[in-house]
Amino acid sequence: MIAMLARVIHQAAPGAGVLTPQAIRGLRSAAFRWSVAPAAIAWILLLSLPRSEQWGTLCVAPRAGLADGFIAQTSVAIAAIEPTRMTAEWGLMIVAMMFPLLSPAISHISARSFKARRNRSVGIFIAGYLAPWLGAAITGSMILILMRSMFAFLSLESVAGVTGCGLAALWQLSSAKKKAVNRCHGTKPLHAFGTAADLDALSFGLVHGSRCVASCFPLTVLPFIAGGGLGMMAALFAVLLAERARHIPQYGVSAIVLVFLGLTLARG
Amino acid sequence: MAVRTRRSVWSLPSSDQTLSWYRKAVAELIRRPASDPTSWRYLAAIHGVPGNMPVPTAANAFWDQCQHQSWFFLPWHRGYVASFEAIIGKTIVELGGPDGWALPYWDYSEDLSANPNARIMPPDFFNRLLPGGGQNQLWSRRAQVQNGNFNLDSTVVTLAALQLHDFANATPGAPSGFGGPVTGFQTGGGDNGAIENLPHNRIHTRIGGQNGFMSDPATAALDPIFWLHHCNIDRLWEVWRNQGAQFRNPATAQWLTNVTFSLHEANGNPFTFASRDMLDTTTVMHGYRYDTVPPAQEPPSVEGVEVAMARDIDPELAGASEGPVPLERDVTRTIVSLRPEFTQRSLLETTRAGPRRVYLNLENITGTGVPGDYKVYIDMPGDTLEPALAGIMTTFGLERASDPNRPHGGSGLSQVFEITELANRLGLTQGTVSQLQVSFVREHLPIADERVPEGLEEYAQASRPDAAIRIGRVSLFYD
Repeated sequence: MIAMLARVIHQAAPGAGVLTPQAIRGLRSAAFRWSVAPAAIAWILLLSLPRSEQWGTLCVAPRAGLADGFIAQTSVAIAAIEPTRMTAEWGLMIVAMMFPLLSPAISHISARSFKARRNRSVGIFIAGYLAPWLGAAITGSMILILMRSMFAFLSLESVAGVTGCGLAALWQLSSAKKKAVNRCHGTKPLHAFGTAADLDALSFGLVHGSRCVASCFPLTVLPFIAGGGLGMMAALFAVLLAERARHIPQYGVSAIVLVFLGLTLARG
Repeated sequence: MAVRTRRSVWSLPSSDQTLSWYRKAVAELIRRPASDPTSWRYLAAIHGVPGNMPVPTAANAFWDQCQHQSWFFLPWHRGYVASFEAIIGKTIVELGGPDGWALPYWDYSEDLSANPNARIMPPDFFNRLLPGGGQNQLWSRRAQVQNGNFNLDSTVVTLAALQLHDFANATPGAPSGFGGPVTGFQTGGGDNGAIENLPHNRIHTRIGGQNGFMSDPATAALDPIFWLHHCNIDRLWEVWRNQGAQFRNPATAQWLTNVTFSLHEANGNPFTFASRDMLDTTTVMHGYRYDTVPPAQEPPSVEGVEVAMARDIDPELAGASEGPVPLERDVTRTIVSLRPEFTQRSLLETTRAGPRRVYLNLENITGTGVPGDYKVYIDMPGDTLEPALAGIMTTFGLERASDPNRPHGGSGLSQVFEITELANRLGLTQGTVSQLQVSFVREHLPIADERVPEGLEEYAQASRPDAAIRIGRVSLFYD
């Protein structure tokens, strides 16, 4: 995973070797400062949380008694949501998993902005990027609660994990996934001056975030139907990095890894 | 077997059979089904696939692979042309011809005093019918011109790219060197390397015209002249590299080995290669050399060579147009406004070791159809000096680069011109100018022949939308 991460970091300064001037510049670059460094901090925070505190709303499904029925289970699960905690969990997850993939977009917006306003433009871009992801977080939490309740109601909890991972694997193999990823690589021209520049940075963030949600949402939500916590998150992060590091992403390999993860969950 | 020698097509004696065997082999390859890796259609589809053509699952890893706007442009096309040469050569032997057929090149940039016909397409290619009345398989759907004269003037055949020392560049805002920008596997989008821009791109659109095969990467390799054109581009890479020790290929694993490509050998078996396998032409597949490449100034060596990248530069945005610039008229003008801090300091008053450089950037060029190329002029609004030519904006591959469903996400092409000398001449670098006028002058392309060669009728249906083009932003970068 370190090698894959290195390749992704490398995108901050393409062509750079180890400790060359380009590599050192890469460590000082906007891409490193705004994408790799925050992701590293997010991972450190996640790993330093007490085990009992890790992944409440998202990974450990609140459950009611089986006899209470589907609606009752769902209602109890929704009532158990702590909005602040859920937002924090999703925020950390997005920063940890998705920010390393933002390097090319951040490099683009930084290089195409006046030096004096690079940080401002990148900051606005990231705000725009996070907005659709936080919307997706609410949707994702609801999907997880509904599916967990359904599996519990049908007494099929033992296959919830493999089902979620299987659905995510199918998404990886679809042509829609490939198209969504391609759109993720798009950039847009940016106004250079004043309010128009701010609006362009915001709209680029919104568009890029929306495209990112479209391509990665199933992968980052469905495998968690049966929980999984940090281990699952790390495995999915490795899948994302592997796809990015390959010049032709191997979505078939990703699908196999997901099925394997699902089977592991079913056995465990 | 001895390596093959690729010769200039105009130097072939009248009794030479190279082109007549090429014609027979093309006819044979056209007869083969598209599923055959040694067929004409398959070989063309490796470069690009028209939108209405389905891609068989078995061909997924082989079709639509051409590397453009990338530092892999030269090594990938070297492998592609060598694979083609091997397949044609084997076919010629099967047809009863000689062994060791070598693809000729068309040196359209040759000094006219040495060859007055250099800019003209050889007659073997531009007559649709043979003297006996049969179909000439070397003819193709091209711009309708007289006697093979595609108006290849000095702005088309220029070899200015050979003067660049840097092979590649990874820094946004600066030119991409001789070979192209640092990328991963890239089938189009972004900035061209200098040799890809000129003469490569411009030759494509001049020969293809508005609707000919050569104007679109998806159909370009259907035209037999495509291979002679790329043979010449491949030769120019050798000419560039042999100029001296400072003309070096990249030596990083990122270019040499990390990205691999797949093609087919003469017998149809697949093989994989990387840039490292393309450095010595005498060991590329069957091996070949050119008849007129100057000898290397020093023995080529990969070991110990520094990365042939642009200097450690860090250009910064100095000014930009107010917004996108649609090129709807024959002449379109836009104003690039400089940020005040750049209008108040002279570029000559620099704290760096050398004078600063100025780059004109044309960003996110998107559109449809084949709009042709544009001459780009810069001028100071209101002064008495004539506008100065900054460069040629080529648009080969525009539609592919603008497609949001392709790997580059529809970001379009881009173009970077170094204009330091012009900026000095026009007074831009004196710190007293706040605006720059940039003009785009369109060059109209002739309409192409509607007919297609026999056996390739399905490509006659491929129609393109009307040409439309816009530049996302025109900007100035100061290094």
